[in-house]
Amino acid sequence: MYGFAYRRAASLEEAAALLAADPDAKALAGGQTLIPTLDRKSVV
Amino acid sequence: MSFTVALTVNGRPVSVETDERALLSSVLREALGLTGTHVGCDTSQCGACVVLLDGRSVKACTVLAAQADGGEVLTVEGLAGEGLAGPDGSLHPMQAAFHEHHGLQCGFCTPGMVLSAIELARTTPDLDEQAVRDGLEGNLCRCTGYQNIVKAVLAGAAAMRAAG
Repeated sequence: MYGFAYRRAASLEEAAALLAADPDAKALAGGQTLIPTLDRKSVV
Repeated sequence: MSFTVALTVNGRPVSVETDERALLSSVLREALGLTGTHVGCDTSQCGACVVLLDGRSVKACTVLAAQADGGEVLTVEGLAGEGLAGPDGSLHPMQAAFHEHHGLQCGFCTPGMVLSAIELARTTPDLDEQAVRDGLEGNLCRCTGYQNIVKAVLAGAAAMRAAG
């Protein structure tokens, strides 16, 4: 699994602030592409 | 980073010390020993790992345990305790239908099939063959050719309706 930190935003504002604070931050919804991608370390 | 995830699994509250990157499938299988949740492809395609999270089917290899924090998880091991089947270990009507209609050969995909089918039966009042085939699009079986699975799901859904 690729290294990352998980944050669960409690509001839209918090989510927007988290995304704005880190250029590498990604929003996670269904995860059907993002999680297998992270798991296989096929992103850099 | 260490992370404590609190879940209700098959009606039992559990707290698991894990990593915030841990998958729900790993926590169920490795931390809780619930190996009925099978991991087939580990890429969210095959559906062997389907569990119900707060009543909705999810692929447990594609959900972080952290995402499920605070949620209720139902795995195949919990079906007998669901109220539709007896505490004596008798089968859930959907499991019984898979048995009756021989809706499996090797059985690897069966836990995910059964849980997807239960959600489908609950959310689709007038299930027909096409709705079953569409609804199980995310569950792959490499043995049966699906004919008996479709029969089993239609019969299981009817039995669930009859049981209320």
